[in-house]
Formats: sequence, structure tokens, C-alpha cells
Amino acid sequence: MEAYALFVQTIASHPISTLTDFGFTPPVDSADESVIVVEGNLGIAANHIEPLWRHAHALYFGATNTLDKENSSILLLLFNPELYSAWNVRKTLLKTGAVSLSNELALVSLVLSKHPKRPAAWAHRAWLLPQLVSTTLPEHIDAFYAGELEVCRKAALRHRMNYHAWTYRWKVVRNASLQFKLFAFQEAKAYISSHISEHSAFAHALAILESIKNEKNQPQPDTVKALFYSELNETMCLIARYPGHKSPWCYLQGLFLITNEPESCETDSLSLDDLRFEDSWFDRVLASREDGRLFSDVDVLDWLKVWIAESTWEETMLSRRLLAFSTWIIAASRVVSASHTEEAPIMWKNQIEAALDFQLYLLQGRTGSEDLRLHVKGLIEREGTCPAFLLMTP
Amino acid sequence: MSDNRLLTDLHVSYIQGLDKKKESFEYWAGEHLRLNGVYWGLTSLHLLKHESALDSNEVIEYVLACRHSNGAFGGHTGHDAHLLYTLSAVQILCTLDALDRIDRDQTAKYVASLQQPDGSFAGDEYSEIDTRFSYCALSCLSLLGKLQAPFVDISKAVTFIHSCKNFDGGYGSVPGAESHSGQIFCCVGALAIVVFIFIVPKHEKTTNDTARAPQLSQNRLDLVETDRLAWWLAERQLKNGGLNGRPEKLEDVCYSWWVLSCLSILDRIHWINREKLVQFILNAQDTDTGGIADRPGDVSDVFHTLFGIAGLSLLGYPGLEPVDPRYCMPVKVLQRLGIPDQP
Repeated sequence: MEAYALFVQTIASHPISTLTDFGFTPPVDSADESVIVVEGNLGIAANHIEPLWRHAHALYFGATNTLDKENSSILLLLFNPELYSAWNVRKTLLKTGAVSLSNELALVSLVLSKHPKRPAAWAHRAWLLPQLVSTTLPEHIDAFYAGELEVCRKAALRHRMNYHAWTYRWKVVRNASLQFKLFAFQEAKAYISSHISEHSAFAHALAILESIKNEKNQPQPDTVKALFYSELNETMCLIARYPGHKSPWCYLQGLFLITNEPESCETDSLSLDDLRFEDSWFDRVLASREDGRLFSDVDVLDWLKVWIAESTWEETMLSRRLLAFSTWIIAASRVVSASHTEEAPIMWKNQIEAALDFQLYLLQGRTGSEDLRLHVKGLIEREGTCPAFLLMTP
Repeated sequence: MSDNRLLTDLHVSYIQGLDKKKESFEYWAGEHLRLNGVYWGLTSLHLLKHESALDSNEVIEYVLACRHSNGAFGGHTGHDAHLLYTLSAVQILCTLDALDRIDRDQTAKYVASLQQPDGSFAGDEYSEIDTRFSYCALSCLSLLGKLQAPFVDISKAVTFIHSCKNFDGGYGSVPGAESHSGQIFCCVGALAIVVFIFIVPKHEKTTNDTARAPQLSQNRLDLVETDRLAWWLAERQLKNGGLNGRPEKLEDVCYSWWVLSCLSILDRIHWINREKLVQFILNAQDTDTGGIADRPGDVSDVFHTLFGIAGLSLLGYPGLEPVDPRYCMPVKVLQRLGIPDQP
């Protein structure tokens, strides 16, 4: 049987909703084996891609009957999800009832299994979303949304920093209940815990946090405040645990920015003391060091927990707290670097650079902090490897 | 690796050769955005000062073949109308001084029909919202000379773009979406393109905290958190000199445009290490077939070829036509259209 006819027969006998994955398989000699389904996985032989495409393309652009349009568009979109005209034809087919909403959703999922970051596929799903929401019973809506988060998670796993997956995820969450937003927030944090450089996940978590903070009907404002402060502590620990990674620093920056703390307080302005840390604090850990032992990120995390436990943060201005933390990180990084007799791993230098960048950023535009900015710029200059533009900032 | 100069002649023949591979599968795979591809190739040639390298009449006829009866354009002949390709069509016709071949009012009306009540723009009749489409709409109307009522409500368009500003000063595709260099270019470019009658009482303060005197008309760059955004953009430069699009991503030549054009508009281009970026772009050239790739060692394509060349032009690399950072078109084309230079 010719390959295209086999394809049509295959999708007729295997409803799209039963197909979970699509991919290309090794070349086969006979067209009879060019399209297969194994446990929900649809496979097309690599040496039949081009003839199948040509046939489907000619049929699609020449077809007048619905079935030909439907079948050929499925094949074309599995090969090239950016063929937006084919998605548009399917929108028309949906309107006439030739295809169903749930099957269309399944088709997008199937396409995304092979092409996790194609914008036209995500745009089609976003177009389906309001229709799906309106046909879902209120008591089932959170379960539906959770299913959508799972589709996004799979796509995120297939391609790091998948902008369209995370943006679609936001389109799902932004209209959900407060309860679901809190669930989605915890899901994002869970993803972060095993993907430290997934900046998109951090940005997504911040967007949800800001949305929760701005929620008009706050049943428990203390919950939000507690959530926020636990985020601060967790992020500090992430920074200690993964030296030199930019994402947790960006997240800390975001946490600072969304609190909208007043820029300067008359009675509680920052001073150079906020940028100093008593090196003697580290003497006790150095005293306990066995000869020849190098320090690592695990040690820094242990020291951080001690330091946080000793500090009294509750009524402290957020910027003072963050300056103190970043100063502490610089000091701790220097202690670790010094414990190496040969050159320390580059990540400690990167960590110090990230901390200085963070400090200067925090102080930007803050009246009465010119001396602090000058001090940090002096440290940046001494490091020698930070981006030059930092010294050009006002 | 190249011998570190721009291989102009090789890039010209690379672009000329693009249309010759009509039977290849790769050609078919990109067919839905062929009109974008023509804009990328044509603009590259003009910036390289090789304006006659493609047959202008052939290009114009192809553009017109992509036109729909409502004045919109599809990505290729037989493909549906969409704002993305409508912009490319108008850009190409402007560059070739052939805007008289279309009904400007009709195309402007198509763009106008896509503006939503909240000021955003859909990409087509199916209502996908994205700040990319705000840029396409405003740039397109500007080039058509129709950037005013009844074709657009500029005030609302600006309000929507402003609502996509994140706490880091950047912009995403929709309100709340992650800041992304491409989207930032679309928003900053749009705010630089709009001409707005702006009169502010002397006592009112802007985000830049300076009192404004009454103005007759200006763009809306006053809404941008300039230093904060420029900081975010300057951080895109990695130690290898290349620029990425977001934190933790790899360097990519196309960000030499998306990031650099914004810095140019914001008058902070000196925050980037110029020499290192120039070397990075030159190293991404394909010294065998021509064209520029996303990074050194990869296969070249016409998309990265344009943005590499445009980036070099912004950086003052010798022998190139000056490019306008708002439109990604030669400055002299915009001057011919009567569009004021960026201040």
C-alpha cells in the first residue's frame, strides 16, 4: 500500500487521543511499513518523509473535500507545525463540527511531543483554551488546568528555557483561582528544585507570586507574607548551594523588586557598614578545618544556615537584609577560594561577580547611597573580570 | 573561523543562491515564512551595499503574489493572511521604492482591524495576542504613512505595551510573560516609532523623575525604565563576546540585533564591549558557503545573516549602510519615506 494511504488508514484506526508520541523511525524498504503505531507511539520511516510531504502538500492545497483537508493537514502539521495555514483550516473544521475539541487538543499534544517549542502549535492550543474552559464543569476546571500544566512540564523537559511552553502555562494560571495559583506556584518551585538554571521557571514563579500578592480577595494576607519570606530564605540557600548560577540571583532580584519597598527611609538609611562583614565570623569554621581539606558549596550552605539562624531579620529593611546576605556570600566565597592551594574553581569568582552585580543593582537609583555605590564599584574594579558597563551605570 | 573580516562577496552570492534550491525539503520546510526570508535577504544585500544583486521586479511580483484581497499578505503564495508577513511585504516594497504598487489605505485598514479593545494587536483573525504584533502593526502603519486615527488608537496601543513591562524593566509577549530580548525589541521599537501628542503639566513627574515641559509630539520612550532595562540588556553579553536573549541561555548572533538595537535606541550602546561582539559575529560566518550562523561552527541561514550584518552596521563596522534600529531597514530608505531620524 502506498505510504499516504497507509497513513490515512492508520489514523482512522487509531484515534488521535490514543496516540501520545510521534517520531521518525529508521528507513524501511516497503511502503507497507512506512507508518506504524506501537503502544501509542506513532512512527514514520525517515525515507518516506519527503514523498509523504509532497503528496500531502499537493492534496492539501488542491483539496476541496473535508476529509482530505483533515487528513493531509494532520500529516503536514506533524512534520511542520509552523504551517499556520493548516492550523487555520482545522479551526474551520472545528467550527463545522468535522473535528472535535478534545481530539484537536490531543493532536496539539501529539505535535508537541515531537516539536515542543513550535510557537504556532502553542498558539493553536491557546486558541482552544477558552472553548475548553467554557465546556468544562466548574468542579472539574482545576483538574483540567492541572492537565495543561503537565503538558507544559513535558515540553519544558524536552527543551530547556521553552518560552512558549512557559508562556502558555502562564496563560492557564493567570485566570485560575487563588487556590490553583498556589498549587501552580508549588509545582513551579518543584521544577526549579531539579532544574537550577531553568530561568523561565523562576520567572514563572515570580509572575504567580506577584499575581497572588495583587489578588483582590485576600483571605489570608499573612499567608502571602509568610510565603514571601520563606521564598527569600530558600533562594539564599539555592544561591549558596549552586555558586555562580545566575537564575537564583535573578529570582532574588525579582523578589526584591516586587515588594516595592520604599526607596529610602529617613530613619533607616543604608551605610557602608551594610557592606562590611566581620571576617572573624569565619574563624571558627576555619579553626575546625582538618589539614588539607578544601571547602565546597556544601560547607557554604551549612554556614549559611547557621548565619541565618543567628540573625534577627523580622523588622529589618529588605534591602539591608539583601545587602548583608550578598556581602556574606562574597566573604564566604573568598574563604572557599582561599582553602584551595591551587587556583579555585571559576564558579567562586563568578559567584563574587554575581553578588557584586546584585549589590550595585540593589543600590541603583537610591538617593543617599552614592558612597555605597562607589564602594561596590571599587570592589568590581578590583575583581577585574566583571562586565565593564557596571562601572558606567549612574 | 574566518580571517576576521566581513566576507561581503561570499554573503551576496549566498543570498542570491537561496532561491535556487526550490526542490529541496529544507526549502519546503520554510515555505510558510518565505516572505520574511525575502525581507531578510533583501535587507542584507542593501546593508552590504549590493542593492542590485536580486532582480527587483521579480521580488516585487513575488510580494504581490502573496497579497490577499483585503490588502493583507501571507507568508508565501497560497498561505493565509497574517500581520507578520504583511509587515515584511511593506518593508520590502519600501526598500525597493515600490509602495505605489499596493493600496496603502487598504493594507492600513487590515492592520487597523486587528487592534483589540485593550490596545493590543492580534496576528490575524484568530486573535493570538503578542507584543510582536504590536510592533508589526505600528511599524507597518508608520511605513505606510498611516500611523494615526482612524487606523490606530496609539494611546491604547501604548497602554497595552506598557502593561507588558516587567519588574526587571524588560517586556514579554503578554502581561506577566518572561522578559525576552526579542519581545523587548518589539516593545522598545514600538515605543520609539509612535508619534504621540504629549502635553504634560509642569508639576507632573515621569518615571525618570524629571519634570517635563509641554511637548508637541514625541515617542513614548519616556515609559521605559532606561537604566534598569539597559542593565538587563548589557548583561546579555557573555565572556565570549556574544549576546544571549535571556539569562542562562547560549549566545546567538540574532541577539546582536534584538539587544543592540534596543541599546542604540536607549543611547546605551557603549555599555556593550564592541570589539568582542564584532569578533563574535565575524567568527560565525560560514567561510565556505557564505552567510552567518547563530554561533561559530554552525550552519548559516538568511535570518542570522541579516541580524549579524545589521548588528555590525549598528556597531559602526566599515563599508555598511547605516541601519535604523527602530525598523531594521537602511536609514536612507526611511529618509526617503519622510520618517524622522531617531533622536
